Amino acid sequence: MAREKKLMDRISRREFAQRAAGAAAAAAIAPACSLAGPPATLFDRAHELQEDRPGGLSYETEADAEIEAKVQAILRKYGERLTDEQKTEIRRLVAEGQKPLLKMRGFALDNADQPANVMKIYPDASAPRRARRR
Amino acid sequence: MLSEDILYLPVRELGKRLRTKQISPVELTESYLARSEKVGTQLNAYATLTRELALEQARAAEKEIAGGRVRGPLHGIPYAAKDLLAVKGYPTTWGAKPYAEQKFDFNAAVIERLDRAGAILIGKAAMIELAGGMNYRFAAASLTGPAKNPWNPGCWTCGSSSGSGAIAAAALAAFAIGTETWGSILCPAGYCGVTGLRPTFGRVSRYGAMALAYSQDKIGPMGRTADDCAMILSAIAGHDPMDRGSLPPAEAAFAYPSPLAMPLRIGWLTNAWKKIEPEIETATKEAIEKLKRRGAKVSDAQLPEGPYEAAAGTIVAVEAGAAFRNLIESGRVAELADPLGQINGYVYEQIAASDYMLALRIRGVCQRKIDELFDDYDVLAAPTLPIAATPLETNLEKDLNFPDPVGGIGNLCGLPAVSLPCGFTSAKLPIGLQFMAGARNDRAVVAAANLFQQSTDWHLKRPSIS
Repeated sequence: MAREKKLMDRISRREFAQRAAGAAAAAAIAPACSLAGPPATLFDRAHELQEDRPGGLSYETEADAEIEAKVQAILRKYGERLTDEQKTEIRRLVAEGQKPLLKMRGFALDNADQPANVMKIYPDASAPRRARRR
Repeated sequence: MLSEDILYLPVRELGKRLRTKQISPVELTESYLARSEKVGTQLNAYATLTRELALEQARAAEKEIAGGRVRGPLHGIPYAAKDLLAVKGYPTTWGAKPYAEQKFDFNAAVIERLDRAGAILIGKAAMIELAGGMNYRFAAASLTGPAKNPWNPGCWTCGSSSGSGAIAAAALAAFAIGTETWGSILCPAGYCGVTGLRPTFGRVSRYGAMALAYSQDKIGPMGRTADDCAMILSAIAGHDPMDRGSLPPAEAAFAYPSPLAMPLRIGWLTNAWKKIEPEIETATKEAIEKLKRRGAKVSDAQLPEGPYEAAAGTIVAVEAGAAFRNLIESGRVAELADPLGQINGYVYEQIAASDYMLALRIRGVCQRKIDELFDDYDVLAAPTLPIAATPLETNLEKDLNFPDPVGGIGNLCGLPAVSLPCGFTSAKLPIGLQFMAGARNDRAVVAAANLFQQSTDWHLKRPSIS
C-alpha cells in the first residue's frame, strides 16, 4: 500500500492522461482466440509477440508483457503512419500509463460498488439525507 | 471609447450603469471590441471576434433598455465564449487545425441562455486544441498560438480555457465562459488572477459544446468577482434534456443570492500539494487568516486516500479516445499542433473496458468518501496551484510535473469549486486560492469567495497592459 501511495504521489496532473493507458491490447486478438479455442492470456500473447521482435526483450512481469502487447497493438494498427521517434514516444507513454492502472487495480472494491457512469451526482437529492454535523 | 476604469468594472456595476443609462450597450460593446482587437491580438486571446453579431445584439439591448424592458443583470453586458461552444454561422474550431473550418447551424445551450439574458457575445475565446483532450506538452498547443498572460506576456495563461483567462484578466470583455474537465477553469483563473467558477457537474448544459470527457466536462464563468460569476451561473444553469448529464430541473437551477448558514466552516487542506512555492503558501495562509477574522471557522482537513487521480485520468483518456475516435483513426490527429497530442490518442485506444469500469466504480467510492468530509466543512480550501504562471516555452510534461489531488477528486466527483486571486509573487504574478464544496453546494464556494472579496481588493488589481 505504501509503495502504491508513492506511485500515486508521482502521478502529475499533466501526466495523468498520458499515463492513463490501459490493458486492452488483447482486444483485437480476443475474438479470433475465442473462435479457435480457449483464449490465450495476454501474457501468452505478449510472449508470442516477443518472438516476432528482433532482439526481443525479456518480460520480467506480467505488466511488462501487457505494455508490450499494447505497444504492438498500436504499431500493428497505426505503425505505418508513425515515425521512429513517435514509436519510441508511444512506448514511453504506454509504460507510464501502466502505473495508474496498477494503482487502480490494487484498490479494494466490493461487488456492490456500482460504476458511476454517466455520472450521477452523489448524494441523490431524493434520498433521505444524513444529518450534517454543525 | 469608454475608459479602462469602466471596462474593468464588475458585471454588477456595469449592469447598474447600463440600466441607469450612464453608459450604453453599444458604447460598451464597441469599447470592448476595440480593446479586444488591439490587446486581444497581442495576447492571442481570441479565435474569432463576432463583431457583427455583437453590435446587432448591443443595438437590440439598447433599444430594450431605453424602452424600460430590462431582462436582468446581464442585459447589455458583453462577454466572450470559449471556442468549443457552437455559435450559429461563426467558426467553432475547438482550437484545433482539423476543425478550423467547422461551423454549426445552431447555438450551444449556454449561448442561447446568455442571449435570452440579454448578454452580448463579442467573440470566441482561444483555447488549447481539443481542450487538451489529446494532452499537450507546450502552451503553443492551439490553432491560435500560445495565449499570453496579461500580467506578463512572456508567461502562459494556463489552459485549456486559455483565451477566457486572458480576456477576463485584460478586460477584453466583462466576463468569459470557460470549460473544465480537469483544471481548465481553475488553472487559468489562478494564473491570470481572475475569479473562475466550476459548477457542479450537470448544472450547466453542454449541448452544443465539444465533448472531451462525457462524464467530467463542465461549463462555467470566469470574471472579476465571485459575485459576478454567481450571477452568470444563475443565468446559464438549468436542466436541459439535450444533455444526458444534466441534473433534474430542481437541482440544476442556481438561485442567487442564496443564504448559507454561518459561520462558514472551512477545511484547510494540508495534503493538497506535495510541494508549494513559499510565496504562494504564505499568501494563501494569510488569505485563510483573513477569513478567520471575518468570522469563518477554519480547521485543518485532509483529502481521503484513494486512486482518484488515476481513476479521473483513466476516465478522461477513455472518453476522449471515444469522443475523438474519428480523428484518431483517420490519422488527422497528426494535424494537431502539439507533438504529444499527435500520438496520445493511439495510447488511449488501448485502455481496457475493465479498467474503465474499474475507474467508474472507484468514482462511486470516492463520491461517498469526499461527501463525508462535507459533514464537517462547507468548503475545503487550498492554493489553486503550487506555482505561479510559467514561461510560454515551458515543457509542461517535464517542468510542470506535480500531482493534483484536489483537482483529481473534484473533477472525478463533479464537485463545484472557485479560484480567486489572493496575492502576487515577487515577480508580480497572481496567486490563486481555491474553495471546493460538496455536490450541488455551489453557493458555498460562492459564499466563501464573496466573504474574502468583500474585505480584500486582490480581484480589483489590473495588469499594466494596453
